[in-house]
Amino acid sequence: MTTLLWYIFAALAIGGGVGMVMGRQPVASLLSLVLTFFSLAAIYILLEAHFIAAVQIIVYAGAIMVLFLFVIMLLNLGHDYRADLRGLAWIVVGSVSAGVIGYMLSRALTTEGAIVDQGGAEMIDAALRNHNAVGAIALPMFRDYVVPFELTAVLLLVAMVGAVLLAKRRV
Amino acid sequence: MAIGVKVMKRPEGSPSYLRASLRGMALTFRHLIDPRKVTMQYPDEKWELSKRWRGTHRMEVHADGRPKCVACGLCPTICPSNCIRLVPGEDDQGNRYPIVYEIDEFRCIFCGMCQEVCPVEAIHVGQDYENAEFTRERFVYDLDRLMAQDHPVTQLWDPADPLSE
Amino acid sequence: MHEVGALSPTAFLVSSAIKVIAVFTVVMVTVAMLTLLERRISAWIQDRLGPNRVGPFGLLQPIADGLKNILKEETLPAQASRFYFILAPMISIIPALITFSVVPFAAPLPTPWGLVEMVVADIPIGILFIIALTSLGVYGIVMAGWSSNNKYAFLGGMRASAQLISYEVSLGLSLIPVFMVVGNVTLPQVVWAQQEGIGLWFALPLGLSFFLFVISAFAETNRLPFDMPEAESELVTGYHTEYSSMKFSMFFIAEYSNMLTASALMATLFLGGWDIPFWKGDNMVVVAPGVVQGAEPHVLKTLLTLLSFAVKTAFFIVLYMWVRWTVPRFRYDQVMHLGWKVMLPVALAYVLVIAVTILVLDSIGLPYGLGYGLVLTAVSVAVTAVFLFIIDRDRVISGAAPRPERVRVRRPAERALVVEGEPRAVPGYARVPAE
Repeated sequence: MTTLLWYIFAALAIGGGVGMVMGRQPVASLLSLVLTFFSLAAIYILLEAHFIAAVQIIVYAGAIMVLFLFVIMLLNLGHDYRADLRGLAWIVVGSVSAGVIGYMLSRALTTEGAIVDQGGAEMIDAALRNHNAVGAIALPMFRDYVVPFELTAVLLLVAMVGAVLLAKRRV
Repeated sequence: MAIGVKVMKRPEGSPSYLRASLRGMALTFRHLIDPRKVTMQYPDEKWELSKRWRGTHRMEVHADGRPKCVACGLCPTICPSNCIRLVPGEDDQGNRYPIVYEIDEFRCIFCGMCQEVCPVEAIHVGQDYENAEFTRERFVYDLDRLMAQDHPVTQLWDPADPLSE
Repeated sequence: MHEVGALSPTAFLVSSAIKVIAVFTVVMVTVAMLTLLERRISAWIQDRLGPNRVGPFGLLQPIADGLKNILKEETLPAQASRFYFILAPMISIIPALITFSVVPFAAPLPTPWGLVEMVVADIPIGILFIIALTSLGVYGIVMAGWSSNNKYAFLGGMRASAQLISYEVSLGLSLIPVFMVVGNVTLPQVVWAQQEGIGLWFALPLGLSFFLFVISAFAETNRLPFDMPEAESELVTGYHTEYSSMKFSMFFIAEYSNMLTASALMATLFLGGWDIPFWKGDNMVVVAPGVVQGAEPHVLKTLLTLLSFAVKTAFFIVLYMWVRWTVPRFRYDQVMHLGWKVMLPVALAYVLVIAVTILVLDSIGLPYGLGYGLVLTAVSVAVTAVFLFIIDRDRVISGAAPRPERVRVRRPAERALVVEGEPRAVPGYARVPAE
């Protein structure tokens, strides 16, 4: 049952991704991307990572994509960016990315680097039992990895201040 | 009843949104629980018509069932919308009577002049407004239909108050 | 601790299926009745009677409306994108109906086969699930607006996306104090914290959260005074202008079931959920399958708590409608102003205040209980009073009337007609004198 669901949502995620790249209208592309995010969240739930799934939907599908949608609808993008995708540089970048992804996939799928069951499910279950769904994430994040977390926060703050500054200068 | 217009004072200075909203909600709540409602539940309740209210026509009849109309031709003459069709006839005693008497209620503007001008008080505008039909033809009332109407007729003036003062 | 016994896997499946069907049916019927209630309440507020013809007290009116909507003609606007046009109502209705599944609606029910929790799915992320799914509901609205090929619908969709983003932030932030006090995100735990943990309904110790949550929930469900996406007087009916028959009805059902879920959520988070006030007999929580902490579960208690939950939810639903028929719609800039410049900073500051209070209380070693709640109440009352005092003046939200009238800047064409500073009367340009 779980495996079947996994295949369904994986197919939906890939389908959404392909639809996003191939879509003709920006809005339709964006909605395909939302489908991908939603399927990813469903896969997270199949992996017992409920909190990550909820955050995935709240942050990506619920906030960022809606913001994108708002901007796309506001700007009324046309089709005049097509030529950019045909240049030599894009072909090079595309092939390199495809190569990297292929290499990582081959590592993951062959036996030596395979993602084997390392008792992840039991660990997650134990964490969920001892703390709750949020605590299981929060404890490592605020105790073991508090410095990277705060650094990320500072980075985001700097980016936000920069964005406000850039936007303000135009007025 | 004179219509009272409530003049609202415009807010001055810095009014409060919250308190104003709460006052508004108190007002709507009072209306919400107020049992006095203004809806007239039409088929069950009806407005009381004024005595001078003018609706579809009615032809008065004699005791023996003949129409009171003497086909004098005054009503088609005075009718401002030209909605009355009258073909007069005369019997062997010399009594005039209408052979055809039709009123197109779609054209009628319910001014009541036909009733005012009628010398024998035969044609009347009446106190009736529930006259929906499925075809337009049905709105041309012929003599039999006019005679069959049984709703009360309009009083064009109040006898106690002829100048309507 | 009371050991009632866990359900066997089969019994669990059967009970879950029954709960799903029962809750779905009840929600759908309630939504139908809400449309009637909305019309009746609007009528009463306007001194009318409202629909009372179909059935006793008009109770069969929703059925008549539904039948009418099914029989009406489906229309598809020319050059609409067909796929998204048909998909939009579905996207809109599914999250609206699913979200009710994590709301606990009564005390656990003991049955011969074991203990049945009165919540369709007690998933570990609880309320985050609701926030996640309601945030997906906006796609239905935006898709409808975009695919209709209609400028009013499009504007409605755009407004919906902007508004929902703005208020989702304050909605989420206003919930964080609740999570901090409860220490969990599942709704049965939230109810338990209000029954025994703190012993106070969170409307008291977290008053400002309650206030902000109610406002944000109004905005999230697109109800007046925040119904910018449909704004009848400006946008025809906004995003569902081009929809007819059952597809329109699906948007309608989505709106009302969102309202129902939001009301249930407000009752659960801030008014104790299914808790009956001043009675210890219903204070219970399921700590493990079949094991209850607190009072002993009983069938009658389940029914009573269900009634309590229904009354609280109904209170918020009536509040929704009461506000809708009282307060006029905000202007779009006022909505954005309120969302970003008032609600968001206040919610953030309140999170900080509550966090500091909790930290102080924990460090002085006050036990988690009623005293804890009373201190939080005192802090919240003080903060709320300051907030209301500030927001109450027109610095924050002002109507159109009290603003000083702007002196109209003369246009270049008009300026050309001015000779030596003497303004000449120009037809059509009545000059507003400077104050």
